[in-house]
Amino acid sequence: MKSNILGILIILVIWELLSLSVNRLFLPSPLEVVNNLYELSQKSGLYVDIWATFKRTIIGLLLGTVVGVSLGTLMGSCRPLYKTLRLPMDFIRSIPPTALFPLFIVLFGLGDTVKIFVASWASCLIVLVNTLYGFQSISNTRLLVGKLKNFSFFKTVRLIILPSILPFVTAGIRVSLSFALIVELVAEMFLGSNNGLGHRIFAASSVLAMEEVYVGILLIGILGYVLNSFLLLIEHKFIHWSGKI
Amino acid sequence: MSTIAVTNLTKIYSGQNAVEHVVFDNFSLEIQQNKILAVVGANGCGKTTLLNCLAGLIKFENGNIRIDGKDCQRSNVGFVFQNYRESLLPWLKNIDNIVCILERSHYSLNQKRDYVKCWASARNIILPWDAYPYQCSGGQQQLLVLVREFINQPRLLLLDEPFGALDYEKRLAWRQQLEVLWDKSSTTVVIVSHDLEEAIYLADEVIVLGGHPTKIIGRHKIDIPRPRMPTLLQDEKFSRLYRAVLQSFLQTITIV
Repeated sequence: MKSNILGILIILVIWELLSLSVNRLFLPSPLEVVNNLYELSQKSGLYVDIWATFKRTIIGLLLGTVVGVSLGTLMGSCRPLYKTLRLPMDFIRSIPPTALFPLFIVLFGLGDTVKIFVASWASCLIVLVNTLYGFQSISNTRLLVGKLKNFSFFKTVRLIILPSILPFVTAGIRVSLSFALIVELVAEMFLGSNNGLGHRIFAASSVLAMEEVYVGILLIGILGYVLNSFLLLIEHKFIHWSGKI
Repeated sequence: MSTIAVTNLTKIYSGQNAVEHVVFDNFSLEIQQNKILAVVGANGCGKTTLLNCLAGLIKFENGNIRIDGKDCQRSNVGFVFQNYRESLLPWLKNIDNIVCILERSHYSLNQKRDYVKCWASARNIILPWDAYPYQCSGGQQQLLVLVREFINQPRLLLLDEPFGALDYEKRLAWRQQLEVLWDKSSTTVVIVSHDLEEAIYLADEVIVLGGHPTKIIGRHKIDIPRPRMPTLLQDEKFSRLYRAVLQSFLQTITIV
């Protein structure tokens, strides 16, 4: 705890020093930003934006996880399917989702749908690959134990397969979260949004309201940190064997 | 009287380029009930293949393996893997690692747990039942594996170079654990080992495998009374048996 506070203090000091040495327009001091945050927090618009970004990211992440885990399970348990789809999958994975934004606009328009879709697209691919890793890492010895002990199919899934892949899936979800936040923010900036933190940052910078830009950056950082910590907490509580296999 | 009989076993691996590798050709072996048999031999002599056939894990071309007159797939066979740590389930507590394979379906979960604890304490086995396997020492993990394999009182227990990676002191300890558990059971044990000393120390009979296809090169009765203690290793009788087994073993190397 002590070292955490020290870390934050160091960042604040560096920030303050930097803001003194450069043009105030580009980097306001921490105090000014916090002041601005307080002012903005008196109005409802800020909460609307936080909620909008949070909601789209989470719904996108959930949808992406469901699709990613399903596809990963199909490919992980069916060798021919894996061999056939590996190349297309790796290719699609290599395309930055932002490069596909124009296509997504054509397909889904500029509403909420497209902004949820980009988050789920980004997370689906990561979760898919991690689920596949999970399947490949199932210990052959443990499968043999199940066979020798005459485990039923259901018991094998429950006691061997599922617990083996879970650590990989949850790690995938955590990585996807930060990735989904990135594309969500970009989408809110450029895909005709009228709310969300990305929209706020972009709109504020175009009228040179730099304090507000930094408020947006600060909030998106906090949002990402809180969500990630929450997922880590769940992981440690329910998947205690992660990394100890 | 023999209850485990391998008769005319033929096992062929078809490798790359349709090259066939005949491991066993009309191989027969009788294993005496309630004894410990150790199988030694040079690398690639088919020791592990024999175990896998006995366990019903791989199919073979010809012959049959009968345990109490039944096909081996239908029988209750225990198996201790070389990588014993990986055969445990780290997501289950130690107690539940045993409970999940306990063959007492009419028991409730708590009855099963109590049964396991009673069974173990009757054999002076103390384990941290509510810990997870990864929180335990290597010694506790190997004991857990042994309890898991003995608790269903299998007719046949197979050990595939178990605990080979342990240090010497821990290996002396597990030999004694195995002997205690086996002594209270009516289980026939077949142990594959690359360690002649271990094989002689544990077994009632040591067979040496070698050649292509695999044959029994030597059979050695080990008539040392039980329980056996580490001081036994200093005995002249032990040394004599060791020399005899080693002689058979060296023959297999020249045959290859």
